[in-house]
Amino acid sequence: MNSHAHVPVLLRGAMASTLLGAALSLVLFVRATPYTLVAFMFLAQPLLALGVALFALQVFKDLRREKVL
Amino acid sequence: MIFTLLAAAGVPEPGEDLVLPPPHGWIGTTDDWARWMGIAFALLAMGLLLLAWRRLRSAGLNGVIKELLILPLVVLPAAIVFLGYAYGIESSKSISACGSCHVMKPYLADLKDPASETLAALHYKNRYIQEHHCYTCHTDYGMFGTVSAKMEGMGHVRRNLTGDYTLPIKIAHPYPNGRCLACHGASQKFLKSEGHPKEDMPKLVSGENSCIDCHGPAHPTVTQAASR
Repeated sequence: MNSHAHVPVLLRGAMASTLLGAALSLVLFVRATPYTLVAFMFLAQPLLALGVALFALQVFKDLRREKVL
Repeated sequence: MIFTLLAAAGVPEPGEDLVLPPPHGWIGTTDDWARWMGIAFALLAMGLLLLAWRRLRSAGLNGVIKELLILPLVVLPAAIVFLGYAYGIESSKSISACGSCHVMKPYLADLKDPASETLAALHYKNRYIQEHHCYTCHTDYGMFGTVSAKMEGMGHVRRNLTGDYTLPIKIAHPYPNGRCLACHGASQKFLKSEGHPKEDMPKLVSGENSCIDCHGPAHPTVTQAASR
């Protein structure tokens, strides 16, 4: 039997996306090359933005469910 | 022998850069700060996310965790993006960034060769340009110079990655005199030189006459580059 608590899919997505975006950004800070800069611009930034968007969506859904909005 | 003695005295050999000790009270450059803060924020965000994941799996989602998640999911990513831009764009102007592609290495070697008399090497060894040597000469001045240089840089990365180029590499557009004149145009040495009569100025400004025609070569020829 699984004893882990349920984590909403949107929040999972937000966390995974941000984790990956932060890891790619870390590569740029550790070793800046044209390739890591391109990876930061076109992968890390969209992933970090996606993380914020998914988290905002989760918060919005929770507020709607609790009839605050 | 002489170079060994000079090296022992802390004087670099020809071709090496003299590294001066930092002045008293030195706390690093803006780039250094952006880099180390970026590393710290990225590690902090990743650590907090892993910690939050464990808490979520054991205790479930509640108001406290949701509020705490604002830090690694919203605040820190915003800071990382800001610092990443600040550090990434600045570091991409360095000669090591330009020389990180294999195809550029002979040009970088020539640039740093004190015996070379190419225009690029002359500017480098005499420090006519203090830093960002490739970038300064290969970027248009003004607000959109950087933007267009970065756009072209993306194309260079794509071409290098996919091998979509032919050797010898060539400059994409004729070199504009405006980039030379932006520094030299107002200098008295340039204005008073017999080689730059006033009646020829319009041709220089319009690009009809190229600075490189008389002052080149800017970089080693294909044969020279191949031998390096």
